[in-house]
Amino acid sequence: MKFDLGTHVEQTPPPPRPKPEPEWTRPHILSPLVEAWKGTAVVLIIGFQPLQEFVGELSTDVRERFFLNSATGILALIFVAALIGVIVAWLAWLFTRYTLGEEAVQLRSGVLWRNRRQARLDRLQAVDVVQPFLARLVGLAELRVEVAGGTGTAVRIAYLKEGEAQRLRNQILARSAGLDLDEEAPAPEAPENELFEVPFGRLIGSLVLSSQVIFPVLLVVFFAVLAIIARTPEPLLANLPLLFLIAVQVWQRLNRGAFFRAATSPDGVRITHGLLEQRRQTVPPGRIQAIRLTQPLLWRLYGWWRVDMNVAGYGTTTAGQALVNDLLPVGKLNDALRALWLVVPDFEIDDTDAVLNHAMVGSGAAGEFTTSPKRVRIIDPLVVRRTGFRITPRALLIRRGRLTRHMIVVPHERIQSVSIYQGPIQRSLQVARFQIDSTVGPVAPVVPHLDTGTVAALMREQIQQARQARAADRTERWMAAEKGD
Amino acid sequence: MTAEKVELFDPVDVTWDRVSGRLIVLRRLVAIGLDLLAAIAVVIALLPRVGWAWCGPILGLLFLISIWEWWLIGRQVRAIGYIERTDDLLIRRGILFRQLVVVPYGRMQFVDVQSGPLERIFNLASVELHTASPTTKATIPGLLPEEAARLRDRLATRGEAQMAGL
Repeated sequence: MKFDLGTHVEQTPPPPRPKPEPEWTRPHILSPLVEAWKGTAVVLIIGFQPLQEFVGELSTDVRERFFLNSATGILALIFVAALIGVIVAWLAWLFTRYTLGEEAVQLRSGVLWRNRRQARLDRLQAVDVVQPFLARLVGLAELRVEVAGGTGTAVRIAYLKEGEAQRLRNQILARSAGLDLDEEAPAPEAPENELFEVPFGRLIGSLVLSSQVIFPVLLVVFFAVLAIIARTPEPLLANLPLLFLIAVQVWQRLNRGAFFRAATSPDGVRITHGLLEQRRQTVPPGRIQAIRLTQPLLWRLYGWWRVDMNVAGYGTTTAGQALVNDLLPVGKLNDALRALWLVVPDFEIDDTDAVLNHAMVGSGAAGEFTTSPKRVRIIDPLVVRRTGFRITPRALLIRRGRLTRHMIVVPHERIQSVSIYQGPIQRSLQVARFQIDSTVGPVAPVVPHLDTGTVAALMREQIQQARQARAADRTERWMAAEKGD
Repeated sequence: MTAEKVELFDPVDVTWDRVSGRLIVLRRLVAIGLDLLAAIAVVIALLPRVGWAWCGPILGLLFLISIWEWWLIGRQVRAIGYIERTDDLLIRRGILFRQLVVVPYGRMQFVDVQSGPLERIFNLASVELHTASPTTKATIPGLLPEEAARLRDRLATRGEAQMAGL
């Protein structure tokens, strides 16, 4: 009989295979040119006139010495500036390297101040392939890897050959999904299923019927009338900067909404859009934190809806970044419902269609909606019967807005925290404001003015639902999870 | 359904942990200090120009504001409460404008413990919880440093145990 002597020998695990030092790669060699071009173009457009004036004021002596007597001389000066720009960008390029490891994408950059950033793959929120106009012309693309937290893009690799960028994206997504892949073999591109696209005409129509265009156009007409009455172009000229600003805004909406296509794939939602600058976003499953369906007043004519989403990696700190939060710039009801289906495939209720209809256009208690109590009319006369919510087993539906209609949907497992607020007037009316804290983004899931008893019940229910949903959520490594089931 | 009076910010099964009374003293001192500065500024800037006829009422008003602040701060600080439950942390605050926030431990991204120079004199610290949402307002001021450290560790452990993906 064997017995345990007590000197337990620990089984040493076999020594781990020495991991090869990850291979650090430089971005494409043309990157500095593309990077430097942006600056040069700006200098050319804005700087030429002032520069000419500045040179004009210099003494002839100085001008003679630096050959600055003609426009050619000034162009040469700008050329030199551009050259310096290219050299700086080239130096930066020289010190930029990236690598994709098992756990993270890493980027080293910086000439004087060395910088090393990494994006953990299990924290991945989105991967975008962005092609600014010039990069597109020369077949280059930049890769943006977004993780939660922090400001700006986590890791931005600019620029790669278009095919290389896509290959790297697929690799990142495959590893992040938890697929076991051959080290060497490139990850296959996940197959796509077209979901919806936005015809160009509809995009134009939606812009024309939006307040961002109607008010500016009225403004222009107003100034034009003034100009005609006064028989001087002064009013139009004086407001040129304002008009320019408006034009830029409309242009941006047009630019980002153009050729908008969304598709589903095992890697998540694929969104492609952009007129000059093209963007291909991939948001893996479960990364959309909240979504909002919006219908401005005039869009009712055609039954159009817009869909925005909150994704943790996409902040909205700057106006330029906000453009990644579109899930559908404009679409028919069916498109909007498909976008909704991406986030909540099944509400697990019997009469989904009817309930969604009540949520989008309805009011009152139909469809088991709970609205603000009537006594709130004193402070909120119009929307009392419209403002409301409905809890389904999978998500919370919030409905708001009489003129511009909103429907907000938050899956239970995506709730960060729950807050309630009550000011003195609300207190006297025995109502309170219910708020779900979601990640940074355009969607704010808030129900103002609910009966206090309702709020108490809603809060209790939401905390409960969120806890259960969180425990069941397996989207962190989405493919590995599927295999495990 | 008639409006039944619901104590929304005091759930039945919750006994709040309160913050240190020294926070009242600290906040009152700061408020009075600022009022005094304002009063001095009024005297220096306005008295030579407009005389007591205008300065008197202004100083009187400042005095009334100070008294109101004195009273308000006491109530405000006493209204701050927090409680650790099995799965989440509850924080409430406010008298006039009330707020209650429920933060699940699994949602915490990180915990800040802060103690400014004034707070250190009063031997106080504050704990702030951060989730992935910028709208989560979860700060507990006026804790004893030991309590703050204990809370931080407890929260970190529980957060780790229940950590969920975004």
